[in-house]
Amino acid sequence: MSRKTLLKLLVVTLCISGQVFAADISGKVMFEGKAPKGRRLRMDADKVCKAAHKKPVRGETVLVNSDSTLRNVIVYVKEGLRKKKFKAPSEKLVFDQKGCIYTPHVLAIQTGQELEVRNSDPTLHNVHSLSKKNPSFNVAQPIKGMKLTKKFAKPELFKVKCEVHSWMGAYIGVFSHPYFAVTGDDGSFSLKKLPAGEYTIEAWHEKYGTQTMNVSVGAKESKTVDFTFKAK
Amino acid sequence: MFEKRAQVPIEQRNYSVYYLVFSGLLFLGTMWAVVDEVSTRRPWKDHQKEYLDLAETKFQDRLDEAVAEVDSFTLEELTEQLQVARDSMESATYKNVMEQYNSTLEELIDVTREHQFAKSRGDEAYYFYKKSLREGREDLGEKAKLKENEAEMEKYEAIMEVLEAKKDSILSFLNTYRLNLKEIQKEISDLLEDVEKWQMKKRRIDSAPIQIKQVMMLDYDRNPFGDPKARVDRCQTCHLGWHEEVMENAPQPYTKHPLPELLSIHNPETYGCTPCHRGQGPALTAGFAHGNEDHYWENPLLEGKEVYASCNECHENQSSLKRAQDFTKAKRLMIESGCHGCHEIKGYTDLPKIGPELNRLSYKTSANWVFRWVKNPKEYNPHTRMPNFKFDDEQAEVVTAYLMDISSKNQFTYEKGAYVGGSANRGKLVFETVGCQACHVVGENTKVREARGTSYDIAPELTSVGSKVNPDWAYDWVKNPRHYNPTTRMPSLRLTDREAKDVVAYLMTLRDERPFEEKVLDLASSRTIERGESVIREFGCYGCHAIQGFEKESRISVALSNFGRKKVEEMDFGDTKVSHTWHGWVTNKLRNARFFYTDRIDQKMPLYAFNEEEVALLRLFLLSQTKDSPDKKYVQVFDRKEQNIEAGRRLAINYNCQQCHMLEEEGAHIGAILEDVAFLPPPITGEGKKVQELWLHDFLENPSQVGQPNSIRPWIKTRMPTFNLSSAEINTLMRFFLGLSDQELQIKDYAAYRPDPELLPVGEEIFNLFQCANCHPSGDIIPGTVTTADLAPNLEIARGRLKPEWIVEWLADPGKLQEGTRMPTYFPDGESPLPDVLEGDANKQMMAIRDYVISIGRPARPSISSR
Repeated sequence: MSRKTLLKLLVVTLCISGQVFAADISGKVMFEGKAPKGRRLRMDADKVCKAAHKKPVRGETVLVNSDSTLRNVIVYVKEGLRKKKFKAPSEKLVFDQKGCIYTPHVLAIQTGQELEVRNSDPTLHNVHSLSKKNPSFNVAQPIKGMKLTKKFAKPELFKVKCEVHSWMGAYIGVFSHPYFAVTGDDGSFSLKKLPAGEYTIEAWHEKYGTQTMNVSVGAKESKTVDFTFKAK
Repeated sequence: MFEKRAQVPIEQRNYSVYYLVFSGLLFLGTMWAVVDEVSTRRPWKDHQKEYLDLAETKFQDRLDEAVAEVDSFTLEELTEQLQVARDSMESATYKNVMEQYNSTLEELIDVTREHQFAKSRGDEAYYFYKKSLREGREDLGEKAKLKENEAEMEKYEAIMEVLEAKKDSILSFLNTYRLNLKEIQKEISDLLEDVEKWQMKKRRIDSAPIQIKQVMMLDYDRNPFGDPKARVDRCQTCHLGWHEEVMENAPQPYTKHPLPELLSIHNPETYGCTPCHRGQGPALTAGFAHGNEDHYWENPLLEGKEVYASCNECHENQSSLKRAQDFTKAKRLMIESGCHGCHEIKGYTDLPKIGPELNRLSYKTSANWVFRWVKNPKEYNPHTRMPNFKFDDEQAEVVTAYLMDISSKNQFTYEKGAYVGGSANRGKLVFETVGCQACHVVGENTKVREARGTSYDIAPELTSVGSKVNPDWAYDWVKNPRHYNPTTRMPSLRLTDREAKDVVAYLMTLRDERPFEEKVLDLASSRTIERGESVIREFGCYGCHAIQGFEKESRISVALSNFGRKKVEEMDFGDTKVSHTWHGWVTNKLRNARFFYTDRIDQKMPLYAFNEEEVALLRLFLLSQTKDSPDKKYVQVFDRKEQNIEAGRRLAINYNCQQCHMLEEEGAHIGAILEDVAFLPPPITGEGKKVQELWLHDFLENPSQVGQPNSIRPWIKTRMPTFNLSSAEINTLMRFFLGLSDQELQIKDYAAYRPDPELLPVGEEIFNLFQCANCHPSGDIIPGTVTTADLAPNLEIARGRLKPEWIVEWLADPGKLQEGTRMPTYFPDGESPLPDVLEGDANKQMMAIRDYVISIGRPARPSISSR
């Protein structure tokens, strides 16, 4: 096959294929039992951090919303995608250090997508990623307003911590596809425009671990699945 | 009929039927031979066909995937652009310019030719003119001709210049078209890189011939006369996919080799396969090639991790092989178990004895304890490295008598009663903080043993030491172990008198409450002592212990230099029913050294208590002990640096540096008992690059500054012990560390380093901006912003300790020099966050910080020369 004919063939097949991305999977992550009270974060060590908060600050490990849904759960397609490469979105995500707390506490991002790491505090912070598959980085941001842009090449879920302020910790999930979501203050998630097929969906929580579910969706079909985590 | 035939004269008989039958048979036989030769006896052909089919499917899958992943939109766009670019090269403008170019080029060629002619004519005239001068006359006609031609040349040169310039300008115009086309073509081929890669691979499969693939190593082996002997490996005839990424999960024999890194330094195309895997290289059927069907083949394939046994053929002297971790572990286990005490092991004959000297035992413990220990050491301490000789009471008694007798002939003085007055509670605290537990287990705290993962401890367990040693000795010992035993590995932790008293008080509370019948021993009679001497000689106790009277004894047992090649016929299986193979014998011998005992054949090797993993490792080590060695050029030869590294490595093993420090990616076992990993002793693989030579020398000689107010991390309670290293040992260690960092030993006057006066204030400014002092104390200034566990090393001593060039390298990327360090980089990707300082030059800023850090430091300790 000459290159020219190959090219034509490619263009044609590609135009025909990419049409059936229309299924949606959405749902909620519920929480059962008594929500544990977050650990009190003592910021006495750094005056800047202490001054940033008037009320006592608690850790964000378990955040249960008023409607008994669970926050900071990453829900994503674990298995079932046939296509392996997806173009990274051009939208930049922000990972901020504000009031000596990482915001957001749990962040999900696609491979190749840009992440802006920002220091909004007038004190020294550093971001130390405990990643294994992606090269680990440990960068200091001593000045307020400093920015750093990072990209991740491999899918992985890892912890990020600050070596100066021992209470600071966050999690970053990197996925090779766009089908992931982090639950917010209503505990809901939605994975949109999936091609028809059978999928394994996983929900991950920092403290309660993972749960998986098998879901099959047809073209243009919408399905609802709920996850429930129980208090330990 | 036969009667009739018999009447026919012999020369008239007809044999055609016989001929027909036998020629038929001959024909069939030949056909059979051909068929057998071509296909039946060539199973590799089927393998190759199967492989090619498999590879084709896999490549096709990858190709499909690659096609699916191409960004169709971009491709379409580029294809259009390509067409536009191609069209533009067909346009009238382009053609017009192209014509101009061609005509200019023709003109240029014409003029160049004319210029050449003029030059030739000029040369001719020059020759005749010169000739006329030599002949004493001046030919003015030739002179005029010369001038004329020179003038003509100049004229042509001027025209050429103009034409050249014209040609170049047209060309650059044309190139804009061409470059554009090339760029688009490149973008397309980048986009289709994967597609093309897999297409190419698939195409190669289509045209792959079915053939034997062999690697010849012309001089790998030597025959008995020392002449080179070729080795031929045909393994790749069936093992076709060893280098193909897609064959990772393919079935054997097509699987990809699992260790591409190892292959990158031992390329199978040059080294073949059998040097590591053994087996029969030239054979072409699995059974013969692997050696399990060929009973006369002495080199069967090594299976599983045992393949590492062949590393030793070329890497005999190296005690640590980075890419053969199991073999490294096996060697370490051999060294720590002291196999070399009784067996001669090539490359390890000069290792020190692993047990303590026994010439002054009576000052340390009682005869009754010695008796109990000799009888069965594992009864008192199940994790001791000392094996059980299964002595009966009489043997244990006479050995005790001999040891007590030599003790009485040797003097040892220590202060009586010096230990009195310690507090066991305080002692326990000291014991648990200064670092004793890095080597010694007490009671239930077996975390370090678990971290090491061995069945034995590197130093005696102290759970019931109170029942073993006398307190006077213990006090003297913890204060200075080398006083009692000058060659001990136990270092001094520089305990103060108070601390030593407390520790002894604590140790004395650790008692063995199990009932043990005390025997009345006959220790004094000369018959008993003589008998003790002969038992020690018979069982070779001196292999591990220095014992007076046995200084000149050689190793008691057989050399293991060719043990890996020991034949089953040479092994005695006694009355056992285990499998009669090398593995069967060795495995059982390692599990139970007296397993093959019969009433006629006595066995003296003592009983070890290796776990199954250790048995497998030691078996691997034994399997590696062969006299096989390839030609010299294949064998690893250590250059000076590597010799230094290996010597240092052995010394580091001897002193158990890795119990506390991470060294060559191994160690830091003490981490298991520390409350925070932040209190770990530092990793030291890169020490040679990091610290000043004189500082390292002084530190190794006397690390007493540790734990002092002005040390590197004064808040750390674990102490770097004083090993009382000899000068030679310090030098070995220094060369070791420098070698690991690829540096030469040099004496440099770091004290003469003067910070740059212009950089210094900038350095201070950056130091403050970066808030370095949030974690780093300097001298008495302790940061208040962090807990002790979060503190970083004291910068006050940086000046006298760190190499200035290291500080810059460290600032650039700390994680590169020390994986997992908590020190962040302030210059990600070499970019400075401060664009306005020193013109944003990251390197200059780092130098400025370095100079400031050096300026805040206190001066180095007086150097050797000024002391």
